[in-house]
Amino acid sequence: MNAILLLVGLLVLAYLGSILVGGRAIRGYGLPSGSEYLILGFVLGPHVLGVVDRAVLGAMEPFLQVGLAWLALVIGVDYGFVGARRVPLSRLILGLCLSLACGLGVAAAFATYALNFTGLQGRELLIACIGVGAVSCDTTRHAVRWVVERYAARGTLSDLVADIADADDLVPLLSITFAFALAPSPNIQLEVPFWLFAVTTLGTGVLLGALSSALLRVELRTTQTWGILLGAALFGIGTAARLGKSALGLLFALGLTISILGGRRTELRRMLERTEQPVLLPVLVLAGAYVNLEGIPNPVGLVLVVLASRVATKWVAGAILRLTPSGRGAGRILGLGLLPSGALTMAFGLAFALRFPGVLGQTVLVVAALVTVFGELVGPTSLRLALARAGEIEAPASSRLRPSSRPPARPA
Amino acid sequence: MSGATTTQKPLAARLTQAVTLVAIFGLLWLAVRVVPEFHGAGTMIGALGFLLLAGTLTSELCEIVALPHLTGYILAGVVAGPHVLHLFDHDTVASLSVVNTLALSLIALAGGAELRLADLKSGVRSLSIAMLVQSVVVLALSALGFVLLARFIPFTQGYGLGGVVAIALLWGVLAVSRSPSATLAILSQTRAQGPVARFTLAFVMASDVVVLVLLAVAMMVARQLLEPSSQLSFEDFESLGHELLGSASLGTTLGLLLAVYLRFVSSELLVILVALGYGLTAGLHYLRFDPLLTFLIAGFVVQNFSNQGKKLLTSVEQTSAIVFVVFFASAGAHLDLALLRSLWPMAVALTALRAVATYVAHRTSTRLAADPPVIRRWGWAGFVSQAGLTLGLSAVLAKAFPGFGPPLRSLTVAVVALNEVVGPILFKLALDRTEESATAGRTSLSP
Repeated sequence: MNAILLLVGLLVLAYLGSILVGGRAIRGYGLPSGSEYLILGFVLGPHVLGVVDRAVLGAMEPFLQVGLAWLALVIGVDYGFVGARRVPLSRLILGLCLSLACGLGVAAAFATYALNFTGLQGRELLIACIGVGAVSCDTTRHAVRWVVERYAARGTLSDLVADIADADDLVPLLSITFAFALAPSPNIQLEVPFWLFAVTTLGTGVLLGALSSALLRVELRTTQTWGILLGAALFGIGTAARLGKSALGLLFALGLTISILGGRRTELRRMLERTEQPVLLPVLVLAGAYVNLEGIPNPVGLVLVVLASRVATKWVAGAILRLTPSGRGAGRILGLGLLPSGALTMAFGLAFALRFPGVLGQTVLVVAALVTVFGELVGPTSLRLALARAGEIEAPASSRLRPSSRPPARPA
Repeated sequence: MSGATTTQKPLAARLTQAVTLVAIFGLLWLAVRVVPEFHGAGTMIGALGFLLLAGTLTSELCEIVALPHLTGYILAGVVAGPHVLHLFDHDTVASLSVVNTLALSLIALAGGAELRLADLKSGVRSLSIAMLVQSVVVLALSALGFVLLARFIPFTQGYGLGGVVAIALLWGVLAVSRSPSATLAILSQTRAQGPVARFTLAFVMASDVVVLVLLAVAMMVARQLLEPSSQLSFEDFESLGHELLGSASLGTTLGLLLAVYLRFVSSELLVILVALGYGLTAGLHYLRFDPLLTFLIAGFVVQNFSNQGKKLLTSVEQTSAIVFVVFFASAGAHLDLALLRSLWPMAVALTALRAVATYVAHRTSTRLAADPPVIRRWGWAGFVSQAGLTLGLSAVLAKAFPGFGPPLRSLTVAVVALNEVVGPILFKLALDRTEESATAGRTSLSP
C-alpha cells in the first residue's frame, strides 16, 4: 500500500474520531477501549493480510511519533482533573499507589517468565520489565467514561473510578521515561547517570512548558496559541528523539507545566480535548499493524503470566477501593472493573516497539495488545455490574442499546 | 484577508518573546552539541517545531521595527539553517518539503477564495493591460539585461549569440513570475483592504497561469535557438494544455465538492483539507497536473459559485499562523547563503534590473489603463516578491536543459533570495503607506 494512501486512510479515521468525540449522542457506541481498531490494524498489517507492509509502516513513523507524544501532552494538560473537577489529592495518591502496585506485580511475574523463556538479560530485561509493567498498570479513562455515559451512571463510585483512572496515567508515563533513560542515544557526547537522564527528560519538558506558558500568557489569539502548542510539542519530540529520551515523558511534563503555569487550563483543555480522539484511532490501527507474534518465545506462557498477574493485582486494587467510603457498595467485581485498558496502553506499547525493535519491544507491544483485548472483554461489563450494585445505574434492565438521554454526573 | 490580528504589545511581552527566542535557540544548540550526529524522523519533527516557534517569535519581534512577519519567518530559518548556526542540516531542510506540500495547497486554496469575481470584473481592463505590459516589458528588459551581462556569467560562455538569447529568454520568463504565497502572507498579516491589496492579489494570482504559458513558449523558442536544425516541437504546449485543462477541470470539481461539503456537513474541515493537501497533491503529481492551479481554482469556485466562501476562508485562515511560518521559515533555511556570496554581484544586478523593469512596466500600464493614483504609485510594490513558484520553474528548466539549466537554477536561487527578503518589505510598506493595512501606524513598540 502506498504511504500517501495509508495517510489519507488514517486521516479518514481521524475524521471519524473527530465526529465520534464531537457528537455527544454517539458516545457510548463502539467498543469502550477501541479494540476493534486495534484488531483492524493487526489484520491489515504485514503479519496477517499484508495490506499495510513494513515499508509503509516505516514511512508512517514520524506521524506515529508525533501522535503518541501528542497524547501524552493532552494527558499532561488535563492531569489531575476529571472534567472541570479537580481530583482530590488523596485519590491522586491512591490511584498512583494502586497503579504502581499493579505495574510492579505484573512486572515481577513477567520477570519470572522472561528469565525462563527469553534470552533477555541485564539492562534489556530491566527495560522489558518496566515496559510490561507500564502497559499493565493503567485503567483507561476512555472505558470508564464509556460505561458512565452509556449507562448514565452517577454517584460517588463513578467519581472514584474516574479519579483513579485519571490519576494512574502518571505511573506508565514515568516508567517509560525511566526505561528510555536506561538506553540513551549511542551518539550522545555526555556520560550521564540514567536517573539524571530521566530527570533531564522531565526537566526539558518543564522548561519548554514554562517558556510556552510565558508565551501563552502574552498571546491570547487562538491561531497563535495553536502555533505555540504545536511548535513546543514538535520541538520537544525532536529534542527527545535526538537525545534518545522519551518524548511521551517530555511532553507529559510540558503539558502539566502549561496546565499549571499557563493560566488558561480550561481553554487549553477544551482545545486539546478535541484532538485526542482523532489521534487515538489512527494510533490504535497502526499499533495493531505493528503487533508481531513471531519471535515471542512461549506465547501461551506469556499470555497466562501477564493476564493472571494483572487480574490478581487489579482484584487486590478493587478490594482496596472497596475499603473506601465511595467503594463500599461495589462488590468484589469492582477489581475486574478496573481491567479495561486501551489506546494509551497501546501508545506506550508502540513507543517501546518503535524505540526497541526486536523481541524486547515486540514483547511489550504484544502484552499491551493482550491486556487491551482482555480488558475489553471483561472490564466494562464488570464495571457496569459494580456500578449497578452500588446503585449508581438505574437498574440492570435499563442497560439499553442506545445511550441514555440523561447526562452523566460529570464527564470522566 | 482576515488573518491574524496584530495588536500592540507591552514591553514585558516583547521581552518575554525575546527571552523565549534565545532560550529555544540555546536549547537546540545544546541538543546539537550533545548529539551532533543524528538522522531520522526526529530531526525533521524537531526542526519543524523549532521553526514554528522561532519563526513566530522572530516575526513578533520584527513588528517592533515595522517589518513584515514574513521577514521574521525567513530570518529565523536563515539563522538556524545550514549556512549560519547549522542547527539542522541540508537533509533535514529538504525533508520539510513534506510539510510544504500541505502548506502550498492551503495557501493556494486561500488565494483562490480571496479572488472575487465582482472585483475581477470591475478591474478586468486594468488587470489585462497590467498583465500584458508587465509580461512583455519585464521579460524583454530582463532578457536584454541578461544578454548584456552575459560576459560576466560563467555558464553562458561557450554559447553563441543565439544560445545566449535562448538562455536570456528563459531568464526573462523567470523574472516575470511572482510569489502568490508571499502576497497572501502579507495580506493575511496586515488584513489589508483596498485597491492596492485587491489589484496585487488579482494580478499575482492570475500571473501564475500566464507564466506557465510563457514558459512553454520560451522553452520552445529556446530549443530552436539552441539547435536551429531541430524540428519545431509543440510537445511542451501539449503537456501545458494537458496540465492547464486538467488542473482547471479537477479544481472546479474539487471546488464544487468542497462547497457541497461545506453546505451540508462542514464539520472537521481541517482534517478534510489536510487529507486533500496530501492525498490530492500526490494524485495531481501523478497525473502531471499543477496542484497550485488546481487548489487556486477550487478556492475560486467555492468563493464565487457558492455561498460557502467565507466558511472556507475562515477555516483555512485558522491555519495561517502555522502554515505561513513553516513555509517561509523553511524557505529561509533553504536560502543558500554560500551561493549568494559567490554570485552576489550578478544576483544584485539582475534583481535591480528586474525591479526597475517591474516599476517601468507598472507606470506604463497604469497610465494606459488610467488607474487611480494610489495604484499608480504603489501597485508595483507587490510584484517584487519571488519564492517557491520561481524556484519550481527553475527546477523545470534545470531538467529540460541539462547543459545550462543547473547553473541557471543556482543564479535563480540567489536572485529569489534577494527578492524573497526585499519584496515583502516593499509590499507591506505600500499597504501601510496607503493605509490599507489594518495594522498601519500600530506596529511600533508601545510604552
